[in-house]
Amino acid sequence: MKCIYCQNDSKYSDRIGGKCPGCGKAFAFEPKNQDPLTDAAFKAAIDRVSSNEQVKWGVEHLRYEVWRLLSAKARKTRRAGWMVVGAGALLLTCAVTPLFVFAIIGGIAILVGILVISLSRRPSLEQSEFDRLYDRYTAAHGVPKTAIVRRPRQGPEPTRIAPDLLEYSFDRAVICDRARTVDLLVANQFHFENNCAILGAEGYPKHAFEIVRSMLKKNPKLEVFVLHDATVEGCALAKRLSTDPKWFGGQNLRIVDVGLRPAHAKFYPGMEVPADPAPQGVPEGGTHPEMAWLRKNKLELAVVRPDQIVKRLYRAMTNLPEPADGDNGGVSGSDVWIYGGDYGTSDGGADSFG
Amino acid sequence: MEPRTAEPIALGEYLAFAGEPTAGPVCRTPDGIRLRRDAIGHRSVFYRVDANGVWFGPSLAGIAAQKPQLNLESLGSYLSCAYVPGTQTLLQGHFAVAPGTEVTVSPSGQAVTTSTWELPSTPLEWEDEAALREELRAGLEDAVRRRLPSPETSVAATVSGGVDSSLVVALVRRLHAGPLAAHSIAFGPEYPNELEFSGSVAEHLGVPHRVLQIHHTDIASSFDATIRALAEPNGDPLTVPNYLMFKEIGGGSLFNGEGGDPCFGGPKNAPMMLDLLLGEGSEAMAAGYLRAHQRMYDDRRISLKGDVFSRLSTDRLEDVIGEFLTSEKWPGLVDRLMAINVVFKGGWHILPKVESLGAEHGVTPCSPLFDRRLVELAFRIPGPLKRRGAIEKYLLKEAVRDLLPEAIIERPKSGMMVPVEPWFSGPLRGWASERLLDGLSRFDLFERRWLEDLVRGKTGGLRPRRGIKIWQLLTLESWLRAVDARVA
Repeated sequence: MKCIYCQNDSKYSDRIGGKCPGCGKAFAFEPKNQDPLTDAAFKAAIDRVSSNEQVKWGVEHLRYEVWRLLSAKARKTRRAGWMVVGAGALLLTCAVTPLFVFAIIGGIAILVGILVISLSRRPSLEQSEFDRLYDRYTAAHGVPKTAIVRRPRQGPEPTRIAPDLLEYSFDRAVICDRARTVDLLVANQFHFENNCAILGAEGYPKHAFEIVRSMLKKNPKLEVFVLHDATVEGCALAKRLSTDPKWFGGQNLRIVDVGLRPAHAKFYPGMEVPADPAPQGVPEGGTHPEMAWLRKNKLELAVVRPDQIVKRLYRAMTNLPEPADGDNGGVSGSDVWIYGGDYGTSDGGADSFG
Repeated sequence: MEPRTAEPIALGEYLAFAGEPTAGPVCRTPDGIRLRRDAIGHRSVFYRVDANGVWFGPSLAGIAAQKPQLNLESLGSYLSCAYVPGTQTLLQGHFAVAPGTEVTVSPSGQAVTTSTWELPSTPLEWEDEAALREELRAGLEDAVRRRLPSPETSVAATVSGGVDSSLVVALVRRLHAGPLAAHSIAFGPEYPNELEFSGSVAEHLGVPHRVLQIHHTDIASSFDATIRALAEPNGDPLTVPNYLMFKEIGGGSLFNGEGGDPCFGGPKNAPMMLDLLLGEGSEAMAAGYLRAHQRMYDDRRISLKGDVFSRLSTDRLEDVIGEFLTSEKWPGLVDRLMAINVVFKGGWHILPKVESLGAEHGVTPCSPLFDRRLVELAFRIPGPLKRRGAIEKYLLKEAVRDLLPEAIIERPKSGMMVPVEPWFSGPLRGWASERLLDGLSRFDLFERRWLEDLVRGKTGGLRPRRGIKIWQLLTLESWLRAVDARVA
């Protein structure tokens, strides 16, 4: 097993006290003790989710990255199992001849292959299991520097520092169904780079939420983008924003839905999870087949790698066509657009998100 | 020398002695040698003191000692901003005079700085928008008029297609009876340009429009000459295009629209507001201001060698910015940002750049939007009239609405895009690679691996901005080579 510090490849017997014989640093995991992965594999997941330390990420993104890694490992094992089954079948075929021993070996091979396949079913990674792995990794190696750490806001209210703030507005806003998506975008400076306010639909961040929301209302040409999980509430969010007078109801804005929808689930096989019971009164935010899927399943935005979320949002903003006159078909109020984008080839993870 | 400028300064006195030890009574006072810089910083003044006396002049390279030593603290500032704000320079023991100050060097070599101009404060409230708009229009006309040569003289103006340069050329057209030509820059048909807009402005005003096409080979062949001509290293990719434009004009007055963004509520205000609202709070805003330059602020740790990084610091720079951002002299954030921008981007970046490159070709750059009186007027305009809602430069646009096509007034800020990304991943890649890997490496400042990744396009991130960083480092390399700097 390789040490992530000195790259020394050591045997189990040499790792006395769970430490690297090369540099003495402690390992977080020991596959010999039934841990599902090594320190190097966990670090590889961090490198992927952070695009080699260039992008900030939340632990929920890392959970899906580790999940992908374990799925890939299981896929390899299944492939090996199928090869054994194939070899067994070949030997059985040969057993048509009097070579009885081939038939026995072939039969055993098929049984072993089936056993391997059944034991390597596509894994899931429960939150509690991931938390346990992450805690052990950070205890041994510290919190990765690209991990988003939410800190309590310091200092006075923004309008006490700058009383003129309420007079201004911004060109764009991204409204997210989850606070953690706001954190992801802000940590990666998306607001800074794109003149773009970012808010959570349920009032995040608390210290600035009402200030920013009232600022947004000062721009009659505001462009609104919505990011969400594929859930009943998420898929209905754009519609809600377009009609709720606390948001943009009554304004003639274009609201572009850039979030996940059921159609995206095919690019993240096995990573949809059972839907939570939808709260009462949530309007239907999708087509009939979409709603049928959403009542049973949900797909979290965190399944998409952070760099792909940011790039997709950026593409949606920069490729937005100019609105034509009477763009919303004469309907009073804001207009909701579903952003399509294209679906690239998937590596089983994030590159498929538009 | 320039009696028509807003604030005549005794430039001729020190320009004549640039690079020479002071021997005569020039700027001599009873207390010693006095070096004075104008309020906004149109003219640069650098100095150093040695056993021979006080060396001073308009260019840092021009007064540099033999084999001068690099000042690592200022290197941090250069990497963060692409210019060096403040009185410390990239060379140890060499100093800049700040705008609106004078430095008196006593016979014993002690330098004492005194202020000659203070940034005005700003009101939060206003009574009469129309009156302010009319006053601004009058101020704009006055700032242009005082820079115009005699009526029969030809005048040139740059026009990018944005509001600032367009309004300046429109005012020149209105106030100058003699010939006027509008000049624009493009980088060949394969790269995006703004000629559609600049052409429409020229057509609207009935002014001949001349387009200087700049090829990547022009960039490589004029790079070192441009960097040598600069008052101080400036890593803005517009330096060489500016230099080539001045060369093309070849003399006389060239009007520009520099100053509109910093003084009248340009686009950089919004990111800072968002940073205050959504970022890590007011404590982190100084870092946000430096980050907004979109240069190498966040790359210093990974790009510099460990021992170099440990010796540089931008703490002092962040402290200065922090003082502006918390000052009660300006009630609003937009006003505070204007104050920083006038000092940083006016006096340490834009004006020294255009003035020194113009001087190289005998051209007098005229930047009326950075006129001292106009800047003072801009400080009297409250922030919410500079930026109304999401509309940038609101009152400035309203003041000249009658002069320009509506499409120019209403279009969002674009900025001139020098195609550094395609150049450095294409035809200029080999040239840049040689200069950074063979040239800059010689100074032992940067991690070679990082430089290799940079020129090979392997540095990652959501917005890698490799081209602009390569340009910034090429500038540094060329300038360090020109002054024969050494690193202790």
